Amino acid sequence: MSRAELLSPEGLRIDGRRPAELRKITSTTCVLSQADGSAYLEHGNTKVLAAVYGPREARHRALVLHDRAILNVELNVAPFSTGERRRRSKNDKRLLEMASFVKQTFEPVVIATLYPRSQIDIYLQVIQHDGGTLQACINATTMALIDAGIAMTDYVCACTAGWVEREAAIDLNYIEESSDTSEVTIAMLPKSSKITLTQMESRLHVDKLEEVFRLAGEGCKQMYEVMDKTIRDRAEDLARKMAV
Amino acid sequence: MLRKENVHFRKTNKNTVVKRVREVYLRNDIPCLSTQCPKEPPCHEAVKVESSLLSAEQNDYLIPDYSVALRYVELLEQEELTNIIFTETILQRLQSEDKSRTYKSLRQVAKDPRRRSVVFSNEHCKETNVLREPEESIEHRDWRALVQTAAWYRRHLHGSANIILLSEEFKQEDVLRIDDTTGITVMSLKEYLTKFWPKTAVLHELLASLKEAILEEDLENQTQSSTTSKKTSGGTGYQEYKPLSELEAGVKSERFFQGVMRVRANHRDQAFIRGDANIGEIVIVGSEHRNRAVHGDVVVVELLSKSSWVAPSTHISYNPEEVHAAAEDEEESSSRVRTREVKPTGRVVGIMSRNWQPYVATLQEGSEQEAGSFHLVLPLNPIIPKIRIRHHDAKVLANQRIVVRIDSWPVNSQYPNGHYVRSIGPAHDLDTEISAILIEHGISVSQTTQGFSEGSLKEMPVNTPERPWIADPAELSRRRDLRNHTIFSIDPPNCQDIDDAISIKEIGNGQIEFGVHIADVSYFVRENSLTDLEARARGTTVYLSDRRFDMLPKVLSEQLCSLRHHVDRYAMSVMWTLDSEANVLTTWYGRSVIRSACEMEYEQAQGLLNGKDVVPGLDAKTCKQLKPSVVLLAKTMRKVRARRMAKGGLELESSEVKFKFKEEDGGISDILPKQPLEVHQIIEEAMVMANGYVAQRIYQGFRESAMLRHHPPPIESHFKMLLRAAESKGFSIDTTSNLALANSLRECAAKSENDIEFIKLLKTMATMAMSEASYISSGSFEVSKYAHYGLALDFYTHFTSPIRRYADLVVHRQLMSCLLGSTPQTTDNSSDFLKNGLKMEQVAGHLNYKNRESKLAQKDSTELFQTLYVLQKTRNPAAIENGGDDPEAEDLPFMETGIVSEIRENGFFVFVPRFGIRGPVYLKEKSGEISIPLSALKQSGAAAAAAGGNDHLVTISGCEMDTDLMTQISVKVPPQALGSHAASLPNISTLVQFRLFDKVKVALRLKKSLAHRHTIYMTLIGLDHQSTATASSGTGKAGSGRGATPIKGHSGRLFKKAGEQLKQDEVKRIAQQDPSLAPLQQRDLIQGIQEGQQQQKKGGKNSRKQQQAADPEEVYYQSRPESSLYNLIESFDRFRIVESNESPS
Repeated sequence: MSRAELLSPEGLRIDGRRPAELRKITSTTCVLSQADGSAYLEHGNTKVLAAVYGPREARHRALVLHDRAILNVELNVAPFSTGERRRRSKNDKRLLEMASFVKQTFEPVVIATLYPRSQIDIYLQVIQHDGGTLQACINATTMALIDAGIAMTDYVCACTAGWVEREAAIDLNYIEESSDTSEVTIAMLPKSSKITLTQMESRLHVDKLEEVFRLAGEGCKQMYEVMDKTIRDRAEDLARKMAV
Repeated sequence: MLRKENVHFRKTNKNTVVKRVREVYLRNDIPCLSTQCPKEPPCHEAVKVESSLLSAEQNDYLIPDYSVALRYVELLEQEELTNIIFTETILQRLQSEDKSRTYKSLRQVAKDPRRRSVVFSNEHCKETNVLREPEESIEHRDWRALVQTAAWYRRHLHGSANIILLSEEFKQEDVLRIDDTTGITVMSLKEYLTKFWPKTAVLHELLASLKEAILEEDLENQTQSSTTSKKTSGGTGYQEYKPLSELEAGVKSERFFQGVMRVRANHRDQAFIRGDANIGEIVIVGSEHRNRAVHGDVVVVELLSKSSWVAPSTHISYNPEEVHAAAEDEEESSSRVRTREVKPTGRVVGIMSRNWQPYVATLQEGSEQEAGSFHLVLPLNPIIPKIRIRHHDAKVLANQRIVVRIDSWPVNSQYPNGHYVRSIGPAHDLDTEISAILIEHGISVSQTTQGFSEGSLKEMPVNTPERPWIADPAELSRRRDLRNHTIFSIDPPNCQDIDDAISIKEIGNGQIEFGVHIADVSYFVRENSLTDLEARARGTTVYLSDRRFDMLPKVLSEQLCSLRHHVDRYAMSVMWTLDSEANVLTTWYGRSVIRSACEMEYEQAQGLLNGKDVVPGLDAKTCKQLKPSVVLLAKTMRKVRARRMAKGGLELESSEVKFKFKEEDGGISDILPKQPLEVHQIIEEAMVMANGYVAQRIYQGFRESAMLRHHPPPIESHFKMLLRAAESKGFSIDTTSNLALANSLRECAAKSENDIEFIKLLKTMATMAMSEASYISSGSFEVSKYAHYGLALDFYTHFTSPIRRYADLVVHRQLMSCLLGSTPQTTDNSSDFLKNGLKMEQVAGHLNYKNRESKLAQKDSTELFQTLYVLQKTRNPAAIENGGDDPEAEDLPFMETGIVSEIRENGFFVFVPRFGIRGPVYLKEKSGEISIPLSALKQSGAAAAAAGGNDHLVTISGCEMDTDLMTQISVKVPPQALGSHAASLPNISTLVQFRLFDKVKVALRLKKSLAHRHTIYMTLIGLDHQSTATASSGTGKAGSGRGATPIKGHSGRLFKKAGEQLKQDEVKRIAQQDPSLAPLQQRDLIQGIQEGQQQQKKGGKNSRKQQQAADPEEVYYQSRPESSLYNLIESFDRFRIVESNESPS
């Protein structure tokens, strides 16, 4: 079996996108009534549900910080998220690591000092997995936090980019991810263009890093547009309802 | 964009069925890639794509379907067919069904801009995507997809193009049922060819033979399926390949090893791959272990258990074809002469990719008589196995050289299946053999026919006697005017394509202005023009011994770009200001216009340099004008050269010969070893200097993508042979750096001054150890890797021969764009190309390949002509009278002095420097019998009595032999074996030793073969031990004094003009005409040697002195025995030199 071309000489990726194109993004907020804030986000076939509870009283007294709120992130991947059923334990190291990435990304952005002695819980559920889980989780969390009305300095938009065969490409899908592609995930504050997270596990030539970063940054900006539109639509919708 | 999902089911390793979902986006912006696109702007400009475009001139677009693409790739590869649209449907299917070879060929067609063929991503185009319907077969869905694509093209181009669907499976009716369309025709290949190419017989023939091959394959599949799974079959001993997943896993876990399999040229039975660093080379012995792999394939090898590891053989093989190839493959010679230690041995368990090419072959003798349509053909290259082809009329193919392709190699077949492509001509016909060489080395048809497409000829400027080309005044004003400088070129006689000219003058206070002017080809050949694309594809001009195949059209290469004298020519110039010690003060690069004062020949320039005031061929005025320049040039270049030598520049050697052809019948009248003159070195040095400076300049401008030429240091182990060879003569050689190597070689040369042959051979060995110089894109390597080992330069490139090398043209463009700074080039596309390191790397790789192939072709042609020469010389006149090939007629003896260049188990290789021929001498026959001619015994005994004429024909057999590989071989003659001879010759020696670098007398013979090229081998006549001193006193002239063989008459005529010599020549000519007189000469020779022995060294010196007196020019030749043939490393000379470092490969 010869390995499929990830990028055809015609400049099309395996799913028909060009290198700098994102997958189709669908998003809604306020999908769960029980949670204080929630969001559902699709990056192509990657589907993530985020629920935010809080700020509320901290579970464990020992963890309480007197001047600000603590963030608690839990990530779960559904066993049916990929073609083959695979059950992951709750203590899967990869999941814990990813959860801590999300936590670290949001700690500087959430204005936690407004909520002293409290806790904000973020529950993430990956329903379907097709590459780019981390970026989807971060984007969904942003929207869920906004939906919950938690104060933040800016949106956090995440996007992956990688070096596919001979060009930089963004928003890698599962096939591209799993064939030895170097992949970078960055999370950015779109207004100030500050980066709160970069994560890369594979090797990438330093000359290519800049190009990959640039493209990932552009991807973040695009993400921002989409998310912002969803949030504003939702807000307008609410405003209309309140006016009635 | 429309998003949709492709769903398919797949079985996993655990035998569970898994549903795979793939997201697919359908687009609206897939370009049609046609120049007739009616949209404004054309749709291919809206998106960034690099592709060739369908042409507007021809209105029929071809869409092949899967059945055609899979089985008739070769037809699609033919250059006649253009405007092919390859659909993504068939490409994807080829990939998924693992036909990567076919896939690559199709991609190659689409990539070649001359073919005007494109790939259309129909599966991602919204309008042409087709869903598979329930119960529909894949074939049918794909067919609908193609029809959809065809219909889309019709609509998109508003019906301005006719679409022809090529299919072997579907018919016109199938289209109508699906879609209502006009202008779409379905044709089978046969219908298509009859309609559009009724006269092109090649295509029809190819189609027929492909059809036959397919028929056969189908038949075989049927029989195979009927006999069910027959794993290892028919006693072939082959095994099924392991599944790919297992191979990949095995390679990763280092259980298996992957590499390109190469068959040892001297031993067809042995092949090897280069494993990783730990294991080194892995040997594969026997066809069973090779398991259907062919030379060049990428194979996966499993190691055998240690007990069955073997040592590679050190015999000279007896098969003529094998020997022939042995001389070709020098790199292996270094590895095979290692001591007898066992090597890792393996067997092929799988093949990653095939590297089957078209092979030139000949029908096996007698096969045409046999009934049936299957025949075996013997490829010309003996390392390729016999191929089974099917042809209805084998009689037509008898004694012809034919081109054959391999199709498959089933496990139950001893030989691979192939098919006949076309016939080149009768075997051993000169033209046939030459085209065979060209085909074997992949030199394209368009180049061999010397043709250029009409389109590219249209781009050429006009230069006819009626409308001569004149320089454009506007262009002149942009160029630096150097027409008032004294500029001259030095080239071999009758040089048509003069790339370089030189100017030099003193400009006061000891400073010198020195300029190298190179033909400005980049002005005439615009980037990405048709001519440029053609030249890029050709890569280089191919020089064979008697003809050349140009890279550029004649109007450029011989006229407008060639720097002829007394006419204005555009040039790229590098001008330096040098101080009196030849240090560079300033450098100027730029475009200029020059007017050459004189096209000098090397001999003439050397004449001027030697102090002559007038040289033949030039009038007195020109001589007077040029002489100071030539002398100043020599003075300056000597200094530059000395400085480079001190840094470690190597002076190496290879056996180069030129052929002289008879005017009347095209026969070869003589082979001349290349005569090195100092002028060669001087011109060389000037070019090296220009190349070096340009390399630095373009590297400044293009850090990422400068086209450089690097020469990596040799691998230490390759020096083994050289070291041991030198050791046997009592020298030690330091190979730690190029400077150390150069010094030790120089030391050897100084210490053994009177043994030119030895030094020559030693240097040739050093040359063989060199690695290959190659073009690189600077971005792909570290700065430390740019260096040129042989020339001892940190930066080097090729700049000085743009007429015959494409690399130089690229360098010219890069230099120009550096000089213009940020000024935009003609089109954005072009400057992008120069800056793109990745593309530059691809071009460099392509040029390296082309260069290597052209060098190999050149080498093959030299060998071909050498054998022809030997054939001429040994052909018995009696045989010719009796009507050609009379097998009874004994060949004429053709004797030469040679030098033992390599010792093997059963004999040794002898190098005859006079003709540059290297051939084997067998001491042990194939039967295992060791024999030695009586004459060899006699001469080794110093006091041997006056010899009889025919001693060399009497052989003593039953001797014993002892070999110390690499350095010496000795033959012991037991007394009883001598028999009757012992009585007649009392004091004969019974032990003969052959050491490396011994001089021997040999007779050149030709081993004739129908299927392969003839090969030269030699038989021993006698030793030449003590005559060393005499023999070495003058290279080319050593033989002329003795003149035992006809050929020496020629060399005598060439070098000696004294009356006495002419008389001797007369004697020789008689001897030539009457072979019975030849033994007489032989006796004279032996006497001569005895005299030589008495005089010993003193005699040698005397004879040398006499010769010095005889002709002053010869003094010069002798005084520089090690004269620079290092242009081997630097193949910039126009002598068609094999680049030293490339000869090994």
